[in-house]
Amino acid sequence: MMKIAVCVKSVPDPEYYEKITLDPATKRLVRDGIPAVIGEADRHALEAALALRDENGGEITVVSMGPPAARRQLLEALAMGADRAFLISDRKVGGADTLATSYTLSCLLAKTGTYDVILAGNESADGSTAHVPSQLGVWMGIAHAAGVVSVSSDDKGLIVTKEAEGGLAKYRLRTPCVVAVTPKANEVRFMDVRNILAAKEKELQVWSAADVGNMDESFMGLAGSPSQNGEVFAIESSKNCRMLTGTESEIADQIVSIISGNSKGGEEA
Amino acid sequence: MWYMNEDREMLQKSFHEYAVKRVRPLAQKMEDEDASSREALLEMGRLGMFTMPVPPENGGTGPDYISWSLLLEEMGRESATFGFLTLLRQVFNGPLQVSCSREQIEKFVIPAVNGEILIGLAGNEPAGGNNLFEYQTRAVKDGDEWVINGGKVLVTQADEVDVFMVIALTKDQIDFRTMEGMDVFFVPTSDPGFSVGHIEHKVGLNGSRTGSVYFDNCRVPESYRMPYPMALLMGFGPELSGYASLTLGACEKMIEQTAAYLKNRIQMGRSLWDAHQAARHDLAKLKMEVLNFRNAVYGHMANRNAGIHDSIEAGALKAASGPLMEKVAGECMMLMGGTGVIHETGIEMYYRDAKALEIACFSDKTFVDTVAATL
Amino acid sequence: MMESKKEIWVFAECSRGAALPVVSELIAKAQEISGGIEGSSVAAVILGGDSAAVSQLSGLEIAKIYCMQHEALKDYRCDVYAAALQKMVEEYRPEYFFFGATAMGAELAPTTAALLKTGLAAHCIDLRWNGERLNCMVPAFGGKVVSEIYIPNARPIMASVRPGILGGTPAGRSDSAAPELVTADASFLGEFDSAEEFLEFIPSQKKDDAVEDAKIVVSAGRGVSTDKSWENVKNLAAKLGGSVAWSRSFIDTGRVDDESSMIGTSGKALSADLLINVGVSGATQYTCGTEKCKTIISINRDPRAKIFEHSDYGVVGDAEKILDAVLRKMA
Repeated sequence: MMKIAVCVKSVPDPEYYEKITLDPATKRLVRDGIPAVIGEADRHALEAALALRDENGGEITVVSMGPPAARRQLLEALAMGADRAFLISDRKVGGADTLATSYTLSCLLAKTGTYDVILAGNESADGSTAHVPSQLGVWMGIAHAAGVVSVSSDDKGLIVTKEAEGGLAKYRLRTPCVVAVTPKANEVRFMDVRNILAAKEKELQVWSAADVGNMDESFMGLAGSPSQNGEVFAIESSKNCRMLTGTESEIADQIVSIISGNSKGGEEA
Repeated sequence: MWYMNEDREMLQKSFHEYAVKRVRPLAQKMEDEDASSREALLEMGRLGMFTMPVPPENGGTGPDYISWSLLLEEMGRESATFGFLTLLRQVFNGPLQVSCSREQIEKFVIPAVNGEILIGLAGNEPAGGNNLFEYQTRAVKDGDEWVINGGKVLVTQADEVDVFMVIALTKDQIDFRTMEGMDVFFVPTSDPGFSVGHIEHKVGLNGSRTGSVYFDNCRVPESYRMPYPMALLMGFGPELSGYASLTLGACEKMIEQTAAYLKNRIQMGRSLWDAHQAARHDLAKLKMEVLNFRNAVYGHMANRNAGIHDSIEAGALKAASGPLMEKVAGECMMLMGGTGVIHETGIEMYYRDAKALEIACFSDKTFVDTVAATL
Repeated sequence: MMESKKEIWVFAECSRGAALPVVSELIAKAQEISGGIEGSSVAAVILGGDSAAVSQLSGLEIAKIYCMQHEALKDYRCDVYAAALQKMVEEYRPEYFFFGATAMGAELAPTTAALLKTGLAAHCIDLRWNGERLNCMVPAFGGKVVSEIYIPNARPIMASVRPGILGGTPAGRSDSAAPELVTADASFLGEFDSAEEFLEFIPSQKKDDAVEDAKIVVSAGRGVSTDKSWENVKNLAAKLGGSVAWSRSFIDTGRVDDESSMIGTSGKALSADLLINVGVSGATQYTCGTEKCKTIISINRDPRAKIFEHSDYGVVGDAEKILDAVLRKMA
């Protein structure tokens, strides 16, 4: 019997990132009409949880922090096979950087139970800081590993293999621990129709900070975030593209000359 | 769309993912090499995709025909053949609920719903699907067993199912009103007397492995004889609407593919899409037809969810499916020009599949008189 | 007494006795920032006290090298290393602390930041001192946008920087003196109860043609849709002595299945002198991995393809035929 928690994040679907624009007047990102999904790495964390449950038995609890609409992604996590789900949704926890986010998640986890292992996607698709799992481990005062490409358990703890300079490094972590799973760790299974239809019957709670309780406001939300956002810039390419025209043969001549110019020691600036 | 809800959105997403990851790579192999879909179908069963619309007491998830239609649509998008083979699971698993004994449901139907086995139908004989009385396949009682001899033609998945439902004559004369003298038996294909003959090359629906099968002293126990065979044969009718669902998927895919092609095909610095209003409009008209068809299909499925099962309505949808698909495929091929007629583009495959669908299950032409009889 | 001195620390991650290349980049950047902040200085931090790395860094224009040596630091364990860094920061109070966003840095930096309850800007592509505050330039949404992250109150201000993105060479010493070597107290590690047990290191089979190091790269996108055009891509790369790479959507075509040579947000960042994009549409997730390439040629059927905004030279046309012609000319 293994008690497993999985942290997931509802993110704008990366398929639509091309459609995100920067409002030149307000300097805010315009992301209207972009559907939300469970982050890709989080899906692999869920799969790792399902595999651990298949092997050891147990229960999978999904936790998340986000807007009320993120309930939809938690429902999907239940449809993927998780057993229960909790979302903390509150203005008080909004505007959080990774330190405040991980604090909030640690409170939500503490409120919902005790766990042998807490899995999370290594990084979110939108912010991509890859901080939250490690910082969650610090707030909870337990072992943690990031960049994990394989996870299994033995009687003494959790065995993780993680990315390292020039290869992979294998560790045994004392449980409970936080493991940040990369997409390399596994292949996410297909959803089972029976699980999808059973999702609504499972426990799914949306809580405010007051519902969670015992939270220190100085660590939450914007106030609890040591890092702040300044301006946002759209990345503009500095390249000025010159189109090559002519017959295929003429174009090929030009390409060959660019290539040979380059191999002779690079383009003149 | 009006028929969607949270459950169905999640179901559709998972069907789509399965179709893209599993069916898409398989589709061309089924077409070119007649590759088997067996493993994929069994996997779908394990994932619960054949639980719709089977009642919960028989291993199902309840009668949501709209979700079932979404499944067929997603499979049809990637391969009309695969959509057709998916549809057959319901054609068999559905009517079997009412035609089988409890023992048969537990031995054959529930394992088929769960993807442990595939059931096929060996019904047709050279005498013709509507001419049961001249069938040659016979079953003779020998103690507690039946001994079956004969052969069938144009059997779908002739060499890839675990159990066939075999239509056989058990008396010299069939009663025209009650069909007494005609029975259906479950015959495992592991029976030493079972063999597979020639696999046909068809105009379309390649990969469905249509062929001949033979029964040479196949022996089955009395308990393998279906108690209510008429419920099976009459039960095929209502499931015909599934042909419309898979057609819908195929048509949408062709229209999307053609639009993308027209937008990317650059001539003299402009895309065909930008340069030719006529091309845009031709495609938009197809889209409108498909949209109307979509509403007809899901209206029908909603009726079924409400307990209204109209087999004339279902047959009408089936009869409209092949011609619509043929039309969309034909127009899209024209719009794509030379590219459209190339095999790898995939449109011409739908064109041929449409023809085969017009004849699959029943020829659309024979159905017309069934409708005339209601007038 | 340390209050007035603003130190900019660089974590000197070592591998096989040498500081990683990103350490040089970070020191160069720290030197640049230090030039704008009066009374500031640059220091490197080495855990495990590798003497080769110490002498390697001693030749640079930095004020100090902080070392901590202890048996417990032999193999990297995140909780031990982070505790060591926390101890050093609390003792010596740096104003800034920079890390390379390597596999280790991406884990150690956020852990240390959380222990210190300070802010950390992740995977920065640049650090900019504007005279008042340090703006850490952090890409988001797969590189679609860059946000300025700054840390107004908490100290130290921490940032991790993507390896290979800053470039830059640190200034060497102008005098013959060595930086001051400060050995931090490591005695507390004797008592430290680590929750991690290091089991083994599995070296990767380093490929000679790793795309991130290649000088010439030919990259295939979804537009490489025929066997012939894929052969052409491989032949051109071979002829140029370069590497073959691809976009994520090329993997979906089924011609390749591994991500080792995939370019972009979730793949490799190139630093090639010459990149030839073949049938690549130019989604942001891809182009953020090619920004460092010196010369980019792109071939695409669609004149509106985004890839041309990220190219020096563009060709609208059929990739297979164009490459046919190029290969003929080079024969």
